[in-house]
Amino acid sequence: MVEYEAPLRDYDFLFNEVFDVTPTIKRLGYDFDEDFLSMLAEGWADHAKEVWLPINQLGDRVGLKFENGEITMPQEFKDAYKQGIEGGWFSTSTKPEHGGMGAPIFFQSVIWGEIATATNMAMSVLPALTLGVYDVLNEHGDQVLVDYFSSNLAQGHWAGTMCLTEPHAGTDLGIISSKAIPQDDGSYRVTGTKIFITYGEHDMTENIVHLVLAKTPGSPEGTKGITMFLVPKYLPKDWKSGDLDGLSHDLMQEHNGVTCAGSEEKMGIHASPTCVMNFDNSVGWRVGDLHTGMKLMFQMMNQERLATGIMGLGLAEIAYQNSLAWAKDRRQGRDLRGPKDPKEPADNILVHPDVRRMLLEAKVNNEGCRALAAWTGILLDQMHSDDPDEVEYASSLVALFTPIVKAHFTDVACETASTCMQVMGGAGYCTEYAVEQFYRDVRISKIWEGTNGVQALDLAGRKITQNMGKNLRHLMWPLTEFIEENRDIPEMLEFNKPLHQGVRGLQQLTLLMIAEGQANPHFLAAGATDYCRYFGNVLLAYMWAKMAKKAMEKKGDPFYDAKIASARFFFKRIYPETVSLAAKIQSGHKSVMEYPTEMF
Amino acid sequence: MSIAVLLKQVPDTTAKIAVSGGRVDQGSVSKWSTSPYDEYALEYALQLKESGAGDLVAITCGPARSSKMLTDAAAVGVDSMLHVEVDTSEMDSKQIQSILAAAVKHCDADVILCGKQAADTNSGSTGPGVASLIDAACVGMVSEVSVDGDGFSALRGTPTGNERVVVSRPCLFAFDKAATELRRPNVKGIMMAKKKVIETVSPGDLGVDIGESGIKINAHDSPPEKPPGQKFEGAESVSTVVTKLREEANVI
Repeated sequence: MVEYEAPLRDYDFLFNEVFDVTPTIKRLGYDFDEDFLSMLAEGWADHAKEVWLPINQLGDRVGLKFENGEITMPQEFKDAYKQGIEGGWFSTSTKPEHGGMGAPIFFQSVIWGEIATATNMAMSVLPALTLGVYDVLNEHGDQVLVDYFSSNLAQGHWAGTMCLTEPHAGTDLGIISSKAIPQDDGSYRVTGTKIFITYGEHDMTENIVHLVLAKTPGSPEGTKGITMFLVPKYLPKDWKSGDLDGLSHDLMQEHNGVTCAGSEEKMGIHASPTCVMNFDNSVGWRVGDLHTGMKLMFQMMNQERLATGIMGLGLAEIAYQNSLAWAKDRRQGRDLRGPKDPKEPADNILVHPDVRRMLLEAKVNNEGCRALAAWTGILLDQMHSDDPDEVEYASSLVALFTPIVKAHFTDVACETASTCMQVMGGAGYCTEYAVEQFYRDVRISKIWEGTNGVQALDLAGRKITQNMGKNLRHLMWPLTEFIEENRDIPEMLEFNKPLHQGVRGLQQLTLLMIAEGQANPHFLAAGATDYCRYFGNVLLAYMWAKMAKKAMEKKGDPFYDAKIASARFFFKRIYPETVSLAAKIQSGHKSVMEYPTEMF
Repeated sequence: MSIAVLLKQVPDTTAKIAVSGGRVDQGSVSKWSTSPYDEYALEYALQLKESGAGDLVAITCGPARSSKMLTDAAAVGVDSMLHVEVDTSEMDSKQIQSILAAAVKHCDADVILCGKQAADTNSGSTGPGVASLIDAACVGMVSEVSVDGDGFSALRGTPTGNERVVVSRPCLFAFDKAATELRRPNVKGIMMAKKKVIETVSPGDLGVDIGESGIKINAHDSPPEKPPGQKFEGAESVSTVVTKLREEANVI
């Protein structure tokens, strides 16, 4: 049996105590309080645990069926998705005028996201992508497109996808060959092949709305010539030509030249279709201005990158909970300092330092990542403030955190899932226990939405120098202030001192990356992954120091005492990897780039 | 006239209970929930409301934290909520029954549903006690209730099977575990619940003089630790297991 309890107590601690979210969210215009947050979180946790979790293993084992260009999902998935729509669980943050609930973004992006992916990662991707399409459309689409598509997308009746990759163009989208030919009626005809399209085809919803990157005739070379188009799988049945103003939401029987040529066989997420999609003279409409497709797609992509980081957290958490449950029952060997349970044939494996190390690494990384996710979620709401200074502050930090949340969370999550299997020994490798599924499912998170290598380059090559370095300055201000505030508090010394050292190290490494990177891009690129991990560790150190500080106010309570002990473990047993990371970055690119290529 | 459901907030069945200084340490309870039998009462109260038996009010008496439970009930469809805010930790059953009976009268309710007993005190006296005070018919161990003409038809468990009874207003149903599925709040319900105002009163506001508790709690103790489970492997252990089941567990 798969164990899972949503970390509701942790959310309560983070949002209400560490970040005191209510005044901020109220100031942003939401009718919001702690009880409302806890009701939403408990409601979603109950739904996910009772509806999504029981079919997660089924999705892994049965998967989807591809036949004659159509994908059939397991009936249990279709039923569960329908229940999600009925419960309003896909529309918490969409606008009330589209049938959404208009709740703060952080709920959907952090709490919803973690619980959804923990309980059923394959299913969770569908509403997450749909929300991304909804947001891009609402921000950049013509009013007619917004009016026609928004309500069905907002409530999950129709699904959304993002179509970027082509067989010859993955990370390098500048060379895509999909074409969009303008028509006299204002629409376009889109032709091309896209691969790795998550939920490109399925029977969970009546219609699928694809956002497709393509080039119009005479467009500039490279990414500057890319435009975004909205291409539905089915057109309205009363559409003849032109736009969609006033048309029915009943759909044509025949598809809009949108076909699925196949679905990839994958290591994990077997119930999440990964499709090859053909667009053959398909009717589409432009979203945003000509040649702004990359910018718009990156808006959605950045949203999905944050979602992917939180996806890693969700799977790492459920892997931890299941390995812990197993460990609590398992007796092997004796405590090295003498038997703990002499009446039993063996002690519980929690007496073994190495088992404790593994479980603590998982727990402490999960809780640290959750704290950073919470902060990032609140910033997503602050990006919609009426105060331009607050928007600039929040946008800068979100831009900076996005590659770190994506790469650091998912790197750590893959390590955590592996470690949790290790805790369980042979049982962890067996399908009877679900941890091996979590290990397979979480692995994609390091790859999609831009590999973690690309995230590291985005951080080191772009985000730290973007906006004249403002991104970094907006981070350094609260960090430095926190360090100063706690400098003379004896209880905080064990956390504050290493945090200060890490921040100083980060500043030095950043200067090194910028200075050496300008002279030689190989230096920057060779150190980017280690720099990203260093940065991630410093941010988690800040989170742990903040959590420890808050927990000290309620010392004596087991929950808060555990937070302080977890912070101690982080600084003693995880954070020191920053020393070796710094050494690797400083060693430069030569050992990497001077290795003779022919000897690979 | 309306329907009332009486709800009690108790430590969640998964929460660890610590005893400190001879009393359950309420501050250490990590999670509070609606008492499980009350949840079945709430579900059937909602069904009665949906059958047109009247508006539904959820009533509780307890400390400030109990109001969260009323908002949870509103999220699944309760029309209004009454919170008699009072510390009940040292009260006896009679005092609590007096408060709840006054609350029921205050809400002008003549159909009352509640759990057969609370998960924390297990006393099982609230339903019959309130029924007695408001002069209502009391049906206990109920697992199902529906509208039947001007009255109600209820299924209740007996030691030998089930019994179906018909009662008219005023009446009180004390619920056992039922076969029905409990409804979960949806987002729309949560948003609606947020807008509903809980009427908060004191026992004095209801005109109740609760007097002194007739029962003094001397001390709470944790139950003795359960002995660890026993594992048996292989066919050769069958006779041992059979002997233990017969002589120790008394189940065969």
